[in-house]
Amino acid sequence: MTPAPVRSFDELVRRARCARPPRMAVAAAGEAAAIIAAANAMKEGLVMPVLIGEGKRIRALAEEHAVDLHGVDIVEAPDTAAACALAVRLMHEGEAGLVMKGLVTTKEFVRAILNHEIGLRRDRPLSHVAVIESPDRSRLMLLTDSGINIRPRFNRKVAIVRNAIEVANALGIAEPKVAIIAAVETVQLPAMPATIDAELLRRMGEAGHFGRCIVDGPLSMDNALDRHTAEVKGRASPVAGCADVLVAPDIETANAIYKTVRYLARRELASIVAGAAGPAVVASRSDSADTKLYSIALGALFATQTNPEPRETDGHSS
Amino acid sequence: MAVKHTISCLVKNRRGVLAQVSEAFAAKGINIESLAVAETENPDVSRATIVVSGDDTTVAEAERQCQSLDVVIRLEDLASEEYHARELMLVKLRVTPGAIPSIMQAAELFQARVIGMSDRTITLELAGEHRALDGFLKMVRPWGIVSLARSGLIAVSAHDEEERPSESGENTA
Repeated sequence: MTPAPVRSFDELVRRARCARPPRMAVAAAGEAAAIIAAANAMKEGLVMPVLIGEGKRIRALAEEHAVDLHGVDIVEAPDTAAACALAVRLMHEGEAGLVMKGLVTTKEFVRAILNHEIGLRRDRPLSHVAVIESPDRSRLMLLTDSGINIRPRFNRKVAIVRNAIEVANALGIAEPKVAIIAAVETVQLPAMPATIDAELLRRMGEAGHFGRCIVDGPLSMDNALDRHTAEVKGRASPVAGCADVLVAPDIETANAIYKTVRYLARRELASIVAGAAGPAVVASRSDSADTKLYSIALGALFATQTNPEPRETDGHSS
Repeated sequence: MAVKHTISCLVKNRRGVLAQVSEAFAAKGINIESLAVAETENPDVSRATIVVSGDDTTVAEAERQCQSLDVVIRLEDLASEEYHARELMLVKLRVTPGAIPSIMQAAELFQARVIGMSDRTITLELAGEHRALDGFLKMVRPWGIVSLARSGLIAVSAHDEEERPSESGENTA
């Protein structure tokens, strides 16, 4: 039976907490923020961190910030490339359930994930999936892609939608309502290519190509978020006002939404990179401690939901 | 042996010119495979890009015949030099949800642009070299071509051209 949807970040943490937490390989862990985030997540029962990098520096930073590393594995790696490769290898070999980026560029980290030999490549591209709270804070919503795909073409958007649906399913949203965002609600040819993609994605969704979900687009943000607006504008849609997933047309749009949520609305977020053989947590150094914790929780929940190995939960459900 | 020739022809922009040029090739039994004509930067002069197939001797005779026409300002057979050639194609395809990713993949690969959509069809615009357009058609044909329009090849020489008095509209042939 599908669990009930996760409705808040607190619930996300509770739901991700389990008796046998997955191991989280932190690549290039010689950074205080990463060490603190990993230790906090372990304290919450979300993950068992494996810190990969220069052990001496990791221990010194932990001591400096009064972080208890008891029970944390530390694995030596001479540089960031080796640390990334090792983290990815651990997950590739089933020794870790998720990976996290430390003091290394996202580009280098992602390159290791996409390595043909020991990487975590699947049959689809990677994409960034963020989780935000709904306007009335009654549930969680997903936003994609604010971090990986710059100007995705149509088939890349197909993969982005699939990745987001997988994450939504892990959050207990059994039939996600997916809004393909554009500036307007009608197809504008040829001026607005995003509306064409949205219409085609809608048709694919309608034909069942994304599995159990409802895809609609093009939808402007107000229609996706506010049912009344959609009614006033005459945009009848099963997704309007209750979208679970917002698929932005490009990285600029998604990134602006992400940062507006964070810095204008002052809300917390969580995010992972999906599409690989397991989730990757790519937290920014500027992310708050809560955002980092929620991101790890999201990654842990996603890892355990998609990992066939049985897990014991704390029994909580909403 | 039949060889493809791409002929760039500057002609006076007046009625009946096209018929005269076509007749020069028809008289030698040469079929025009594509013909694209439009005004140049000089409104009194048009450029016709003609693609024909034929043996070199017959085509050369037709070209000489064409060159001798009062309305023809200049004629170049581009086969003997480098040139830039493009063609525009509009193709309307039958579309089903299952075919969308493949059609869009082909469109992305060939940099075709969606310019129209209905419940049952999708119309794509593609500009490129003749062979690229053929390649695209080969890819999308399985989904069903509802209608197709090609502009015919347009071409200019790849070399810098000296400004010639002849391009002012005076025939120096």
